[in-house]
Amino acid sequence: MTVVIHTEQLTKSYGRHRGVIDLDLEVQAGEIFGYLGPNGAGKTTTIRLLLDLIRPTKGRAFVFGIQADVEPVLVHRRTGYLPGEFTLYDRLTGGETIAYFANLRGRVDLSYQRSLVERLDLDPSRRYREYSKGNKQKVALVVAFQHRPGLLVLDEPTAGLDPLVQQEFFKLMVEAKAEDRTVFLSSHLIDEVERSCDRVAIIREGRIVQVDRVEALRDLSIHQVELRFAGPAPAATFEAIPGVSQLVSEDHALRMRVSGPIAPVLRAAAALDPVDFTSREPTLEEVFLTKYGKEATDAR
Amino acid sequence: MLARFLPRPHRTLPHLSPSHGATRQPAAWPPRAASSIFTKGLRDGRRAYLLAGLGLGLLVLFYGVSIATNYPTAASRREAVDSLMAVPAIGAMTGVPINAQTLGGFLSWRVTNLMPLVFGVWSVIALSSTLAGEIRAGSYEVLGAMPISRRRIALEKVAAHLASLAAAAAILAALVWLTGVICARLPGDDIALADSLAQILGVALTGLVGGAIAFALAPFIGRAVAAGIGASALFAAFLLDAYRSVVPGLSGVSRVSWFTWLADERPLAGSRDVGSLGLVAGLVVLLLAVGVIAFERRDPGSTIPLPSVSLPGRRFMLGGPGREAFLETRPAALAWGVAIGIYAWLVALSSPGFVAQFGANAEAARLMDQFFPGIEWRTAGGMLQFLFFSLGAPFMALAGATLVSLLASCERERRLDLLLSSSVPRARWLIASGLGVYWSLAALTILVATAAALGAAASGDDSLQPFLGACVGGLYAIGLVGVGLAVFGLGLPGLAGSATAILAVGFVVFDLLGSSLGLPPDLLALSLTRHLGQPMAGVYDWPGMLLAAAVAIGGLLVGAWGLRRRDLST
Repeated sequence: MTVVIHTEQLTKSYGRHRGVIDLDLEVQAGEIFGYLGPNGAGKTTTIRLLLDLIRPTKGRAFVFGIQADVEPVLVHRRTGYLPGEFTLYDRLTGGETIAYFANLRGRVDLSYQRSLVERLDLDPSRRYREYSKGNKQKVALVVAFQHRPGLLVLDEPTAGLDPLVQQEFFKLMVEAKAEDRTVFLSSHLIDEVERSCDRVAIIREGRIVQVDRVEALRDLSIHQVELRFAGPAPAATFEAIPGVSQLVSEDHALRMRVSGPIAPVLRAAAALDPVDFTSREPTLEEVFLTKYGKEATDAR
Repeated sequence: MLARFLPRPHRTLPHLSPSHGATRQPAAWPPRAASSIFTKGLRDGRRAYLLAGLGLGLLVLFYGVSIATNYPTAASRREAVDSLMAVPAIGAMTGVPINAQTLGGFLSWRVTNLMPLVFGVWSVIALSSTLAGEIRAGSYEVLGAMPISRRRIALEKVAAHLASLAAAAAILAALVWLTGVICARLPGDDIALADSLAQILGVALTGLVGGAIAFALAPFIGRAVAAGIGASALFAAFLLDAYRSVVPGLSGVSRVSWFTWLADERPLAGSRDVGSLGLVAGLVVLLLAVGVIAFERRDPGSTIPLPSVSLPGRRFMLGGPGREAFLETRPAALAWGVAIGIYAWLVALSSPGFVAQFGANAEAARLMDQFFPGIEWRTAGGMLQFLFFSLGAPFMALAGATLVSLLASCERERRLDLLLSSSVPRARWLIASGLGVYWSLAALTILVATAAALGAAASGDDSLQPFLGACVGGLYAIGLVGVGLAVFGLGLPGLAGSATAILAVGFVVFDLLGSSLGLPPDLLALSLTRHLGQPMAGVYDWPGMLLAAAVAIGGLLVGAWGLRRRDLST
């Protein structure tokens, strides 16, 4: 597969403040890549480095094989960007704002542009300063999508959007993927990433701590297991099994968290003739909480 | 997850939908928009260049008509020039007259020589904020991701300002030429269009240097500080050139002033110095290039931290909103303080020279005795009162107007929504924030007062009176800012700064015109400037000072009352 984003030890420091440290990332063409992390982890810094809005202290970033800080214009030509924080021109209407950025890019398909305005339910005749937060977000979404870029870099894209428009936005992302275009989706909303992404990288305190498929992240982690017995629950049997933790015994029920292979627990349970067995696959949020602690999900 | 079970959106834009009401025509798509950063900049600046070009042009026309009417002969013009130049301290402000017996020479001496300050202030504001302002606002996040290089973004922004400046200069030059057509009375009064264009080109270029300084510094130190330095450099360069003929000690230093370099470039007076014009143009290009390269190479918004003034504690009512307002307005206040302080310092430093000139001219000395009855004007304080205070105090009030505008902008930018959603009551917020603005003005005043005192001390005179006099100017400014705060609180945040500025300028104009027109003293007494005494010379008008303080406090209270009662604007 073609690599669309590639970073080598990408580092940005702001004096005494940490930015991002030694990031090694690869994003393949045609995938929706989630970039997940708590607030202040370094998500926006990474994006701004990819787009040459800021320059790295060390390392390199390549987008479409082009070094971002060497040929940024070539990168921008093939990229659509929705910033996490922005403001646009108060005196222009939403439509004029969209048209202005289309003019700066050139060669924008006007019918597609118009369809985006319709699908996101944006009234383009109002001045930008009169828009609500969600409508401002829609203007920026149209600006990011309107030229059908090969790479969409979206920083907290659903902020302020109502559920109907969010649904339309996710459809737009799926369409982009179907056209073999790539989406780099930065978010602190785990369900947003879980719902839409193929792979996810987790960044914490400026470092990538995990990159994997969304399903794999769930698989390699833990299972929440509940066993019910006809008599008293034999907790001691399970305590000794490697990977079992948070064992709670209540009357005839046992609840436990199992990290790694679940087979030893199944074998032990089968020998004790349980009356009921439930094993629930964890959500990505639970994985996140388990691996990185509750403070890492402060945005929730 | 719930969203999955909600119906798909089928909404369409009313005005794009063919089924929408028959009375309303569908809007054209795409809407018209600027095709480049340059054209957008030009469009955004059209009000400024029309206003500057027409405003300054009409001023020239007014002066032209006045010269043609009041000085119809070469002798009468020479006499007018001689009488003004009899007091070089005043005449120096507009430079040495060249061929002032001609209409073009007179205009270039009395009118266009001051215009670089207008072009300069405009350029400082425009060029310091054109990129740094976009970065601060957050729109650069989107603009910077367009397939346009940083260099091109910067160059287009600069080009847009240069084009706006050129448009204003062209309008102004056309009106200068028209003045020649309408007002020529004597041989040599005709003004060639080429001379008019060349004169205004020099004027615009002279002002542009201040803006170019701000543009070059903004990527390193941020918009506000760069604007302050650019404006200070502009005024310092102007004053150094203006006073070099009066203060011998300044003649060496004034060589660094680009105003001095261009002293002989007066095409309207038939004097050309194309080499110096080229030198100034080269300086502008160099400074702009520094700004473009710095913007290209540095991280946007990453500035070098400068040492800041430590803050008084909560006991000075500077906790919470007051502290925030102080921090928000402090850079602008300090920049204004430096610029006005340089003015005060130069006047105070030059006071022995001025006193000697007045003393050497019996008529001038008699006029001064008449103007300052019973007051010793032969001191630094006296000269500051005569040559600084009448302009310095209104300038301090104008500075206050920009500070009120900054505070009031929090409502337009929706920060006020958040601020007032905290536990701070509205009235308390406005009072604390207003006090924060007053503290900024106090910092400005201390800078000006210290500069005046240092200048007076350097000239071997008493420094206390100049210091206290400048403080009275600050009190006047605080009073007018109180009116702006009241306007803000009552629901007109967009006019808060303008209200203060209109009063600052209005009182000066009313005072001058009223005296000329012979208005009754009771009517003239409405001007607050008439109630400040002559504080730099040690004469205080206590009721007037109390009135200024009362307006400051009253403005705060009225503003607090208004903000409590009204809706926030959308």
